[in-house]
Amino acid sequence: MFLTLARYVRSPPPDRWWKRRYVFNNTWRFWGRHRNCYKIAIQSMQHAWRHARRGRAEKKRFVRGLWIERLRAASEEHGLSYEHLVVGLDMAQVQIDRKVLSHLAIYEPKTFKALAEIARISYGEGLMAATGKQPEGVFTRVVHWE
Amino acid sequence: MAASMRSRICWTAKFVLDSSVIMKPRELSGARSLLPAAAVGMQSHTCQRRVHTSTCRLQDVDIPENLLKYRYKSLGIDRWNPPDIDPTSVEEHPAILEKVKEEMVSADVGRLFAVVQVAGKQFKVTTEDLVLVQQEMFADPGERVRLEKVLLVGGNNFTLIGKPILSRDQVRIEATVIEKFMALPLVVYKFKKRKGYQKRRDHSQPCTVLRINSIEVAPNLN
Repeated sequence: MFLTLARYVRSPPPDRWWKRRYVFNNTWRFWGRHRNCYKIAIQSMQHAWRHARRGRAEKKRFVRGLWIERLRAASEEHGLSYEHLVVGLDMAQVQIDRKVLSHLAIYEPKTFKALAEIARISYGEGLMAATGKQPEGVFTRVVHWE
Repeated sequence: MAASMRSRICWTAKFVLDSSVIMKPRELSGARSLLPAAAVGMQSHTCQRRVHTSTCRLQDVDIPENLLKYRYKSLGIDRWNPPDIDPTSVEEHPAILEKVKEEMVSADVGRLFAVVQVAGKQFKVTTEDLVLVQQEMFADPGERVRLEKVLLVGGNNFTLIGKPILSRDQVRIEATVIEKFMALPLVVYKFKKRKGYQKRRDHSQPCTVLRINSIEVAPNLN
């Protein structure tokens, strides 16, 4: 009598072990039942994935805030504020991003000083165009747009 | 009461005049009908200030002198009508130029660093640096590549800052592709509770590692 098909249908699926092995490989560092019991471990694993996805986005925000803090400190050392630095560099068409700027502020102080001067001058030029008054003691190359 | 009314009218007149200057009236040739109601209405209110009211064309408004100080001029770059600055114009400080040229050409120019933009991200590099670029570059390992978007080049005593990038005649940065690989897979898992919504995706980013071989500057500052 042909019994193989019935036996095959009634046998447990062969990949159950492998499925659980995948989960335990992901959760072997967790605490207690979260690493040993499948029903709990699979939820912990999914939570970990969700936190990782959120963390990846938050890390970018956090790191950018760190750069801005450092630039704030560095520009205060040169007598500028962070806003003036960034606006001035934008007006001078310098498109170096905050990551590299903060690195230069730490490791290339002379270059950062030059960039701060550029920002100060172009911010002053902008103010001059708006108010008609020249900032003191600064040589400006005035660009007439009209 | 009368005084406060007058001050309110002054404020509204200033606001309208400011907005007209922001829009650069002489370029609004096709858009004269944009603010007729407001302009006419305001002008009738401001006839106390003797503003010219015969037409509603914005460029014919004579701004009285005590309001000229409120004329708004942009503090930023006019991105829609950029000024025609000659990019090859010589600076007003030829002495500084000469000094920088000497520095660049001298034998002890030392180690140069550069800020380079690759794959949408900026890196500060020197020679013998390894750069991990999270992109698949279409160059095989061992091939030499020239990095062209250079924003800044500096040495011990000079810096060249590009607006926004330096020209190809001024700087040359060469790199070799060392390896290309796929990063370890990352699980991107989306889940919404009680809605039966979950998605899972394995993402491995193609990466390239570059070794910066050389940074050269040429004294072409004009």
